[in-house]
Amino acid sequence: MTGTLLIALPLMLLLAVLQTAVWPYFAIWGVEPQLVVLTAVVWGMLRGPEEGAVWALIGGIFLDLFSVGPFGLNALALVIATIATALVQHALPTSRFILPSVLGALGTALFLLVQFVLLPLSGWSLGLGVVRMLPTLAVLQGVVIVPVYWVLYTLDKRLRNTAVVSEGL
Amino acid sequence: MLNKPDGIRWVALAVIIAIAFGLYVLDSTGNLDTLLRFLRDPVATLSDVASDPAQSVSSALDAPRNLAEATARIAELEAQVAELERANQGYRELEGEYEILANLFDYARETPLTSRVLADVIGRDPNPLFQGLIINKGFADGVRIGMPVDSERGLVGQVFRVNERSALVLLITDASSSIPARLSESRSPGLVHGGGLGNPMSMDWIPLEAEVTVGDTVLTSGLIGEFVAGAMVSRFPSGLIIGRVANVRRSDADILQTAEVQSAVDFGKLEKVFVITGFPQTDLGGLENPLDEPGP
Repeated sequence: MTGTLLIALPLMLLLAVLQTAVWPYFAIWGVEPQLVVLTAVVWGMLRGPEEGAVWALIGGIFLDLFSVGPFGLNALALVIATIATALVQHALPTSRFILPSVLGALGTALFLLVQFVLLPLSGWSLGLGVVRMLPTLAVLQGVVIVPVYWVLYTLDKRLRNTAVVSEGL
Repeated sequence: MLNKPDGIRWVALAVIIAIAFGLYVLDSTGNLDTLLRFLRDPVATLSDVASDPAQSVSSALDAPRNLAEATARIAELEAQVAELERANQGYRELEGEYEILANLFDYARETPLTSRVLADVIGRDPNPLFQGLIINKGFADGVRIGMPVDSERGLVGQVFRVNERSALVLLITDASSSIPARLSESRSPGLVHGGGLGNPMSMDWIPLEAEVTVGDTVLTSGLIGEFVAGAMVSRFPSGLIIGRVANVRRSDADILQTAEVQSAVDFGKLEKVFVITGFPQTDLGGLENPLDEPGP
C-alpha cells in the first residue's frame, strides 16, 4: 500500500486543485465533474475497500482544505461513499463496462447524501437545488468515470506486474 | 474482470472512518484552526497558479467566435452605450441634487471612508453543497473573519475562514448565508437568505404592509451585529447593493411576505473582489451586551 500512497498524494492534490481552480470555468450543464470522488471510488473497485478508503481519506482532506464547510466533512463522506461502493461492487456480477458508470453515479450520490445528513447537525443550512442537480451530476459522473476507470485500471495492472516481477527476482 | 477483495479488514476500515470523523469533530470544536491556517496557504498558492490560465481560456472561449458575431456584438454594445449615456444624463442631474442635500446635512465631512482590500479570486469551493470562493488575501493583509466582500456589481459574501495569505469567502448565495437587508424604495427591513446551488436568494421577514415591487433594489441595512469589546457593531455597512426584487410572494394568510432577489453579480465568473476592512458603523446605540451587565 505504501507504493500506491506515493501515487495517491500528488494525484489527489492535483485533482483537488483542478476541481477548485479549473473545472468551475468549464462547467457542463451547470455542474462540474467530481474527479476526486471518482478516483477514490474507482480505486476502491480495483483494489478493495481498504485501499479505496485510504485514497478517499487523502482526497477528502485535500478537498476540505479548499472548502468553506467543516474540515473533515469531505473526507468522512468520501470514505463512507467509497467503502459502500466497493462493498456493493463486491456483491454484484463482475462487469468492466456498465458497472463503473453505475457505481460512479452511486458513489457520488452517497458522497452527497452523507453530507446531507451531517451538515444540519453542524448548524449548516442546505438548499434543495443540489437535489435537482443530482440526476445531471450522476449522468456526468457516469460518463466521466469511463476514462478515469481505464487510466486507473492500466495503472493498477502495471503496479501488480511490477510487484510480481519484484517477487520473482 | 474487476478484482474482488478476498477478505475485508473491517478494523482497518473502522480506523480510517474514525480518523475522518475525528478531523470533523476537531474542526467543529475549533481545535484545528491554527494548523489549518498554515496548511491552507500552500494549497491556495497552487490554486492561484492554476486559476490564471483557466480564467484566460474560459474568457477566450466566451469571446465572440467569428466576424459576424463580433459585428452584431459591437452594434449591440453601441446601442447600450447610447442608452447608458441617456441614463447618465439623468444620473448627473440626480448627482447635483445629491450634492446639495449632502452639503445641507454636512454628510460628506462626517462619513468616514470605507476601507477596502482588492483580492483576486483564485478558486472555488470544490464541494457542490457549498457556495464559496478562495481569495489571495489573508490575515497578513488585514483580512479578518466576518468581513464583507463585495464587487463593482454588488455584495459577494462574507469572509468565513482566514489563513495567513488567503481566505475562504462564503457567498451570499450559499444556503447558510443570511444578511440583514432593506428595500431601497419602502425602506422595509428583511433578511436575505441564500438559496444554495441553483436556487434564487430570497428576502424574508418583510412586513405584510410594506409595498414591494419587482425591480426594487435590495440593500444591506447595516442592522444586526455582534458584540465586540462590549459594543454592538454591525456585520455589514449600510447601503451595499445585494440585488433586485425579481418576484414577490405574499399571502393574506401570512403576516409577512417574501421576495425573490436576483443579484447582478456573476458569481461563476468573478475574478476580483473587494474585502471591506473598515466601514462607518450604523448607530446601534442602546444595545448593550447583557453578558457585560454586573450581577445583583
